[in-house]
Amino acid sequence: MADVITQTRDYLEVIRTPVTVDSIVAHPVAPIPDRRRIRRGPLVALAAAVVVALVGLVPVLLQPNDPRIVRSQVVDEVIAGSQENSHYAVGFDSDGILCAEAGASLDLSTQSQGVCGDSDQAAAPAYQQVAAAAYQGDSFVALAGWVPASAENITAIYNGEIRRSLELTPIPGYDLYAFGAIEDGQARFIEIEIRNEAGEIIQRYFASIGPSS
Amino acid sequence: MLNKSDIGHQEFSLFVTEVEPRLSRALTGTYGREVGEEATRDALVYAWENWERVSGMENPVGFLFRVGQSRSRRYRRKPVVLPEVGSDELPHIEPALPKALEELSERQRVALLLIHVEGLTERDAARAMGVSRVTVRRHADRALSKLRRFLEVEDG
Repeated sequence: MADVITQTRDYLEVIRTPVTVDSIVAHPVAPIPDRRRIRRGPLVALAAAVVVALVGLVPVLLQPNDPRIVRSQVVDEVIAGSQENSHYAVGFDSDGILCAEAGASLDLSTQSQGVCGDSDQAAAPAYQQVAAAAYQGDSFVALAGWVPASAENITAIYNGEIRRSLELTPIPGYDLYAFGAIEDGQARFIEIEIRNEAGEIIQRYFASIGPSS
Repeated sequence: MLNKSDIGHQEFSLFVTEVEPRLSRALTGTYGREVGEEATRDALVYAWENWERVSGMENPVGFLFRVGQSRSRRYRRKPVVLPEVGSDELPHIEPALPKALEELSERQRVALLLIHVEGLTERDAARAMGVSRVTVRRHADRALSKLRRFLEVEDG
């Protein structure tokens, strides 16, 4: 009997349906979603991130145990992004959906939002995606973004409405984290951290996107 | 004489020949046959649309796996069901293998597929999964142990 790795590879080779190159290049090109932004040079992107951090946001350097921040629970997987007119951030653990999701932001009449499972928050380390959500009572914040190697957009949502569009420039080899947070019983904040391989925070962005922002 | 787009098309064809089987196996093993196919197609369409960028990547399989994961959201159904195969088609495979793979958590299955089956480095697999190297190694090791225990084999 072959070892289990060989068995697994052979099994998957048999059950998979090959995708041919002709079916790809002939594929109709989908409309470019918002997250695919014009690529900028690293210096311009870095400058943009700094300007956004200083001017567009409230760049508060938080202490690790700042009582205003309720740290999110890390989940196994986060799906985030934009699809048609919807923006979403959904977290899953191995037992199923764990966190909240945001719905359509451009048509509030069809938005869906809610909390799933027992947790009211979620966050995840991200390589190409970053997402976080916090839910408390009637208020809901979510952050969804697409972050490849160059600066791309991250959308912060408050109760289904886009409140901020952030631009960040993650440093290659570093991890990006996002947290939804709650203050005074209301979901109001989004925090984004860039950490090095040792897990040390080297940059932190903090955005208030609640009702008073 | 080949023009620029012909050269790009040729390069992309070679890329698909090399990458598609690995990507397809990983996504099929993670999400099942139908979703795996759609996710593979979507990821490769993304690669074609962003060829200039993807062609320069060190770890395109890991990157496109992540793209496929993201795009598969629209197709996903839980739980994942992997098809059985006849013993005449694959006589060297334990009949319980599909069930054993289903029993793994998604993270364990992904780590197993990326590292052990498709040969990504721990670093690349960790980046594709958005977790640390230690975490991805732990998932992969647990997956392998669980699989061997389920199939009652002693290899490795």
